[in-house]
Amino acid sequence: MKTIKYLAFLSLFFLSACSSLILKPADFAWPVETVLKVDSTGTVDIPRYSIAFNTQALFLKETKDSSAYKNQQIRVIRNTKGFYFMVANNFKNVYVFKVDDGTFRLDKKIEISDTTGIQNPAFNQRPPYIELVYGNKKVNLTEKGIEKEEAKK
Amino acid sequence: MKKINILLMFITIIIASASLIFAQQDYQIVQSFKAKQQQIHDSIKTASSLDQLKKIHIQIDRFENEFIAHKSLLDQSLYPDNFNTTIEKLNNQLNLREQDYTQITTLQVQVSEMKIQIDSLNIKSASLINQIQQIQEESSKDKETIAKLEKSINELRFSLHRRDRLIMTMLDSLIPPSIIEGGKLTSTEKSEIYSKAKKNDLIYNIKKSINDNVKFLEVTALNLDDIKAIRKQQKDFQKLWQGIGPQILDIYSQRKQNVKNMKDIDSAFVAWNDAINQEVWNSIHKIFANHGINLNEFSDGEGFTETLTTYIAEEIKSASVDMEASRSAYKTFVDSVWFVTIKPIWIPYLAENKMLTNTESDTINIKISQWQSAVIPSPFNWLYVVIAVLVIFIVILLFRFKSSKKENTKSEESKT
Repeated sequence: MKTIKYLAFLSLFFLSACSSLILKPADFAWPVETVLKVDSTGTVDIPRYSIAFNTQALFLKETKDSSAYKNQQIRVIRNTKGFYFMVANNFKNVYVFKVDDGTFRLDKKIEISDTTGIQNPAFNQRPPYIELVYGNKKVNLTEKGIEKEEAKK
Repeated sequence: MKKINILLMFITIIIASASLIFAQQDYQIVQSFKAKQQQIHDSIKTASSLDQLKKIHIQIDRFENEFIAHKSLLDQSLYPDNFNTTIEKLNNQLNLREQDYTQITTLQVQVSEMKIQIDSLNIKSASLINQIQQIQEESSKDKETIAKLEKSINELRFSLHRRDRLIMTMLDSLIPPSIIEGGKLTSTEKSEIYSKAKKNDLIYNIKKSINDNVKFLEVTALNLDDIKAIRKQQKDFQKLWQGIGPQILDIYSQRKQNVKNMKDIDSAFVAWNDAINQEVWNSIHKIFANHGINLNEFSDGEGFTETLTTYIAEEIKSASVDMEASRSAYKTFVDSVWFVTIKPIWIPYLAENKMLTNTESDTINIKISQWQSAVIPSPFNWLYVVIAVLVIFIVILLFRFKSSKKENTKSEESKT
C-alpha cells in the first residue's frame, strides 16, 4: 500500500513537470503589412520587428526562376496567431509561414489565381483574418486558406 | 471611331481607379499619412513669415480630420508614435516656429525704433559739437560759460555713447551668432541682411558714429576714467565690426554695391584709436600746463620722453645760473605733477596701452634723478660717522687686548 502511494505521488510529480507553460491570450498581429525591397542577395530586413530573411527560395518556388527575386518587392504581414503571410506582385499564391528553429517553414500555400499572377496585391489586418486586396478584389485569409471571397466588382 | 475608342479607354481608367479606391490598403493609408505629415513638417520648417505659419494651423486641422477615421490603424502603425502624438508634435513644432517669428518681428520693430533714436541722436550730436566749438571760440570764459560748456560736453558724451550702443546692437542683431562663429549664410539670409542694413543706413551710421567720436575727442579734454571708457567703447565696437564687417562686405560686394564706404570704416576705426591716443597725450600735456610747466607738444612715447628730458636738461643747466628758480621748478614738477598724477596714474596706463616703453620710462626717471642731484645736494649722513667711530673703537679695543695679553705672557716667563 505504501509503495502504491509512493508511485502515485511520483507519477503526479512527473506529469506536472511534463505539462507545458502556456501564456494566453496572445496576439501576434502586425497592425499593417510591411512592404520590403529585396536586395541583391535576395534578403529583406524589417528593422521595426528585427527580422531579416532570404527570399530567393520563395521566388524560385513561385516562378521557377532562380533570379526572379531581383528588383522585386515583397509584402509581409503576421496574423493574430503568429503566422507570416507573404506575397509579391504577379504571384499566383500567398505563402503562409511559421517560425521553426531559426527558419521560416512553409505552412500553407494558398492559391489565389490559377491562371495569371495577381496585380498590386496588399495585405490588411482584419482580425481574425488577413485581408488580401488585389486589383479590384478582396479575399479574407487565415493560415488554413481562403475563408470567404467577397463579391467581385 | 477613334474618338469612341479613346472615350472607352478613358471610362475604363476611371472605373479601374474607382475600384482601386474602394479596395483601400492600410499600408497606403499609413504611407499617405506619413507623407502628409512630412509635407506639413517641411512647410513649418521652410515658412518665411508668420502669415504662412498661421495657414499651416488650418492644414494641420484638415490633416487631422482627414485621417481621424483611421486613428485605430495609425495608432498601431505609427510606432513609436501614435495618431495623437503625431498631431501634437506638428502643433508643437508650429508653435515653436511661431514663437521664433514673433521674436524676430519684435526684433525688427526694435531695430526700427533704434533707427529713429539713432537719427535723433545724430542731429543732437551735431548740434552739441557746434555748440561746444562756439563756446570754445568765445573770448570770455566766465563761470557761467564754463558750466555751460561742461554741461554740453556731458550731454554730447552721453548721446554718443547711447548712439554707439544702439548701432552696435543693431549690427549685432543683423547676423546670427552661428554665422559669426564660422557658419555660412543662405542666399535668403543674405538678402534679408542686405535689405535691413540698407533700410537702417547701417554703414552711414557706423561711419558717422566713429567720426563724431573723433570730433568729440578733438573738442574736449578728458580725464583718465573718461578716456578708459571711450577706449573700451572703441575696442568693443571695432571687435564687433571685425566679426560682422567681412560678412556684410561680402553681401554688398555680391550685389555690386559700392564697398568703398565699408572699407573706410576700417580706417575710421584706426583714426578713432589714434584720436584716443592723442587725447591721452593732450590730457597729460594739460596737466603739466595747469601747473605752469610749459612743455612742447608730443604725440607719442618717444616725443613725450624727448620733451621731458629736454625740459629737465634745460632746468639742470639753468640751475648753475639760478639755483633757487630751478629748485622751485623741480619741486613743482616732482611734488605736484610727476609723483602725484603722472607716475602713479598715467604711466601705468601708457605702458598698458603700449604707448610708452619701459626704456623710455627709465630714461625719464634717470633724468629726474639727475635733476634732483643738481638742485638738492644730498644731506650729510650721520649714520656713516657713527659706524666709522664704532669700527675705530673696536679696532683700538682689539689692539689693546692683544698687547696686554703679550705683556702678561712675558711677565710669567720672567717669573719662571
